[in-house]
Amino acid sequence: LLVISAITFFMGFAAPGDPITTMLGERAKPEQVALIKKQYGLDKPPVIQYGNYLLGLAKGNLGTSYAYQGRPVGEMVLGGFKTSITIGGLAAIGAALIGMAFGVVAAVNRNRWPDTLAMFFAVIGVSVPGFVEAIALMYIFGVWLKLLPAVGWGEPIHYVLPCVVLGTRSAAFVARITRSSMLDVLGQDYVRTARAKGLPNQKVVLKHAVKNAMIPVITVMGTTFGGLITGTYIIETIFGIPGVGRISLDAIFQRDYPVIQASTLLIAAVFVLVNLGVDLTYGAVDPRIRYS
Amino acid sequence: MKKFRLAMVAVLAASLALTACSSKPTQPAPADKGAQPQATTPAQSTATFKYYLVDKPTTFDPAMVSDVSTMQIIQNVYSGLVQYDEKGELVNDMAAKIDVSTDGKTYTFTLKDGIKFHDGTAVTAEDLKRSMLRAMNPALGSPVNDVYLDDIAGYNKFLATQSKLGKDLAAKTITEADQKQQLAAAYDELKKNSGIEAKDAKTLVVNLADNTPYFLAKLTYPTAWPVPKSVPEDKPLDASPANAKLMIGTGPFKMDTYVEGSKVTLKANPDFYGAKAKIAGVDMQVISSDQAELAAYRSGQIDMSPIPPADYKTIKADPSLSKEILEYATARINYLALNQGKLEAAKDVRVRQAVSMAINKDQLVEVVYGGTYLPADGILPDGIPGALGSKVQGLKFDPAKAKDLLKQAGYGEGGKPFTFTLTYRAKNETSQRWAEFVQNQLKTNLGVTIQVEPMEWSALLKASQAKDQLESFLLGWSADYIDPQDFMTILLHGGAPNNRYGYANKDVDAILDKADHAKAGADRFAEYGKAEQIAVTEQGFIPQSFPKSMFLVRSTVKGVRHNVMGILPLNTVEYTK
Repeated sequence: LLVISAITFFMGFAAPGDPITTMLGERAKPEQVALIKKQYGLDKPPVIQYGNYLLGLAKGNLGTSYAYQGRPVGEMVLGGFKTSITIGGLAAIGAALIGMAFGVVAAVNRNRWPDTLAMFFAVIGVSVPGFVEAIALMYIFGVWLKLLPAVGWGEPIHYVLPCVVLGTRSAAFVARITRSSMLDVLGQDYVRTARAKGLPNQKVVLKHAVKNAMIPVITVMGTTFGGLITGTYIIETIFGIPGVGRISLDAIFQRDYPVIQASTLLIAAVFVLVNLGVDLTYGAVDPRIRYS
Repeated sequence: MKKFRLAMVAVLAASLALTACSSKPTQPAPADKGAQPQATTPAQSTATFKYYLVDKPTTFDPAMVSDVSTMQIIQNVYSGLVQYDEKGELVNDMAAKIDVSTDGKTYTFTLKDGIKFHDGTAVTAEDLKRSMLRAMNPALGSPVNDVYLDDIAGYNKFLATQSKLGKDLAAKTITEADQKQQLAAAYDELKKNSGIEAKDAKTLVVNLADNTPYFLAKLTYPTAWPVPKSVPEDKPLDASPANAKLMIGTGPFKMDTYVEGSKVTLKANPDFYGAKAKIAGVDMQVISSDQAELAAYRSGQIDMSPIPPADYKTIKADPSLSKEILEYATARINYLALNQGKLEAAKDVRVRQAVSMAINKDQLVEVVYGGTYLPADGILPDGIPGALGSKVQGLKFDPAKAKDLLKQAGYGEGGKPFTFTLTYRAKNETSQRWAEFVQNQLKTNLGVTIQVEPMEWSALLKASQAKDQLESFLLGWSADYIDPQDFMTILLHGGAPNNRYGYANKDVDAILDKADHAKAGADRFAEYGKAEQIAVTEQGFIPQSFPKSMFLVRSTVKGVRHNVMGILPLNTVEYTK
């Protein structure tokens, strides 16, 4: 994480553009820009700025935003993070359940119509870009059917469309992986043995097959779900959701470095945690994997 | 192992519980306010205007505001001495009476009766003085105070000191500690001798450094509008939800709540001293994508929306939506600069005229902006007093004459080679299309090949300000306040910092100097018109387009009147059945 903080910090100096001129636009005067930069300590050499940044970080102070003059970055980013975790988490859970259900149904009914149908949706889900789906759903449910608000944030009803859009691709992905993994497992000897014992099909699938088919699925889910929580830039912008994705995207356009640094650190931390979570879950699913 | 199993069960249980919660809203819930088309129902005085903001507010501090979305809130929550009416004319707001001395340097404002902050305390001339001085405080770091307050005697002096200290520090003739100390001393001195005087509770006297008649126009900008004592002197009121309650202004609306990044709600101020709001409040939903704004409008979630340029033609052709279009010119001009300080050929007026006449601007506004901009022949946008508008004698599109002029100047075929690099704003699609359009036009109509080059926005601003780096560039200028001085003197006076293309004409300078310091009652606006015509004939810069603002407004909403600065005073907005 320290490495990431250093990389993002110094990358800011390599990128063209400065936050104060960007903010003021055509009316920016050099003297005024210099004065404001001084106030934020931007006139110091990069190494000293980084030192100051780390000192602040150690005290839990992430600095103040340039674009949102005087606003503490920690508050800004954490607030957005809670929002993103909520929709990302809901989308992830929804995607996992729906994706696995589709995958299992498809595998069990291999080459019959439920399989074709499920995989048809999966292909569509993987290939339609999120922003197209977002605008389409917005018009279908918001403008024509008037069942859901097209945009906005605050009430639970506002979560629906963004969660659906966000979860679609992962659900489709999970469905495909589940299907192939299930097919693999269903062909194994112990499944045949279970069937030979006379166990009903339902029990064979749910008790013996599904659990063993989960290892590759969990691996995939780990990486996609990290992305669900952090990769919501476009969806958040379209639906007007004040999440960390939109905060960091705005910050990039505004060259608001303290905000970029804080959100990058946070996103990196999330990825580390999610991957740790995935590794630990293996052990729970497959007793052969142990951590000593 | 058991622990893992338990954890797994817990995770599963939690996820089931969560999905149970999350699946609820998928049913058409009756609580869904957004989905009900409410536009036709509201009773007038209890109605809440369903409005939008393109970006979340960047500050709650009137001294700090520099962007349009934030201004939309600030201008309705706070108020100042003067303001524009819907015709763009300057009218008294907090001021009941304004007396100007014969030398034009002393302004005496008498306040109206009964002006109160939203917390009920009376506003005095002392509050106005304190707020002006607060905006000037270098510790506050306002990005706009120098633009709007620099005419005031004490501050004019302070700015000179500040600029000198900055230069000394850059040249390392003083230390940083010295600079800090001297700046603080200069601010202390400013507080003592500011030229601003609260004579009594209702009389404020402001002394200017010079006779600058556009001073009042600058006061329409919120930088120096009064804030109560509870707002810190040296720290901006940042845009956090907690600070919403500290946003105590004097305007027609009170700040109610702020949900960070998503929603601002305002409530009508029943004690407002001026025209009271005709609605109970305003809900401002932050929606950053123009497509989403349009969808929200069509679904009934908001009653006003900007029109995405890409959808302009479709909406115009739509029989019902086309009736809800509201459009007007904005106080901005986009121009193409041929830098006379860098590009030798550009010093010849005929070359500038040739380039100008080789660009078909009617086609430009169609191709680049889908017909949502107006071609610009003159410099001053519509609505700026003194603007020649359609009376300006611009240079019409005429490729034959353009070629001829270039030849006369000794460039092009048979003469000296003529080419240049045109720099435009990177990562900005319309700028790129505009640059490519110019490149194409000059190739086709003038036989001149130019290079186009993107440059990061702040780098472009700096390079053009340096005056001797770029050969040619695309830029624009938006009004800071409604006065022709803000375009003509700022963009075309010989020594002006924003005259980034080295245009110099002594006659123009003389006219502008005279108009900028005209005695009260003189027709100074007509003078700017004269300067505009000269600069257009000589193509000091090459005018390209005037942007238009375009909105959809629900037919039940009346009184939507943006001022020329593009700000919507919400106290005239009302719902009708």
